Amino acid sequence: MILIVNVCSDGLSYFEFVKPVEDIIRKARMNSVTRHFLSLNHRDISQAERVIICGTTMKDFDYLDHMEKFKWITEVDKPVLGICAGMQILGKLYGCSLLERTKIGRYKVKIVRKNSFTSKDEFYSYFLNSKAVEPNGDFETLGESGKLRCIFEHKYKRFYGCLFHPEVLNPEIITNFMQQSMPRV
Amino acid sequence: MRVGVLFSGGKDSCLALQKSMSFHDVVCLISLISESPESYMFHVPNIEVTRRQAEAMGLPIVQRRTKGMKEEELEDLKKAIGKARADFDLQGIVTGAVKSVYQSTRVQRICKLLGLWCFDPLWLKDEIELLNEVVQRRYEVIISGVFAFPLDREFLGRKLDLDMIRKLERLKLEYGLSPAGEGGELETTVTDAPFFKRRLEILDHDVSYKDYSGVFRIKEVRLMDK
Repeated sequence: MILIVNVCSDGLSYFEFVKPVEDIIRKARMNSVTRHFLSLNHRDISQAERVIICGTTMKDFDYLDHMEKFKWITEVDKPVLGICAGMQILGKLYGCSLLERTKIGRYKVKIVRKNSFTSKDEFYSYFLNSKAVEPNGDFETLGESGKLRCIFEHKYKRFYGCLFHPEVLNPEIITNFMQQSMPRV
Repeated sequence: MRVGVLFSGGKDSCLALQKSMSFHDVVCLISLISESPESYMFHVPNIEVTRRQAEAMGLPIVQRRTKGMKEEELEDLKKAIGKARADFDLQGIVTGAVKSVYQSTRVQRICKLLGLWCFDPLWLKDEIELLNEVVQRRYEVIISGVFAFPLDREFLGRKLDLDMIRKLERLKLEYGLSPAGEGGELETTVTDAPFFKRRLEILDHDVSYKDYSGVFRIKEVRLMDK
């Protein structure tokens, strides 16, 4: 079962940032459950085999005021994919700095280190991003878009993240994350 | 939150509007009236009817004319949104964008510049699911523009109902046509929806059509009690 974490502070944003991810998982015939980060419980976390933390709209930074609600991530040994705000949360949990950096629209991403999410060397992705993650020693950069580092992997845990929204132009990144040794329904 | 809805009068902007009503106060509509039939951003057929639709909903509307040139119309959109923000103390904008990265990017950039929240509640929604939701919610919708093979004159003015959805679904399988017209293949006009206080009755129209491109132009409407 995949746990989808909704970090939107506004209910209307669910349709834009969470539902498209749910739809990709449903089409891949995988089981998932969606929870808002403020209402997550131990059972949801323990039952999850994988976790996807979705993004939210550009004016929404409410999640950064509740970082204590994400502390469980550092205590689990499960694959986690952070999308945009989700990657900012992963970075913040491990002491990375968040820098003001706006990138909106379709931009080319270049892979700088081989990884299991894509076999492509470069591709276009959709960005709705206003904070860059400055990786520290815990995270490695897998991809860049211009000067923006935008795909990351934790060095020791199975944590991955991207600052673009793969659900828009690169759904295979989400399905590749899900299908790595996941049982089909 | 006080939000304004970018409104073209078609099914997508109406559905986005209705969804946003469950979460926010919709205080105005915003329409760009493009003089170019090939506008990059804005729905064209019957855009003039948006004022009557706004009346039917009981909402004010901010309208602005644009020549419809590629980047110039974005400047006009920014001015229209800026005016709506000032006049109605808006905090956010809602759009009916479904698939267009081009449209969504431009509106997101304008909202960022103006310090507004931006919501796309139909974003990436499955097109058949979208059409079914419109019918299930009992919208009265007509096809007001066709712009792709094999959509012919017969589609113009036809109601969107379950039979029409099945037909569009078949055309998707046979020709790869976007059933909800997200690639600009067809345009719609909404004449009634549950949140309309009155409905529109079309009194006069004309049809222009040639080579799989045509418009059902509404010339006169009246508002009817429901």
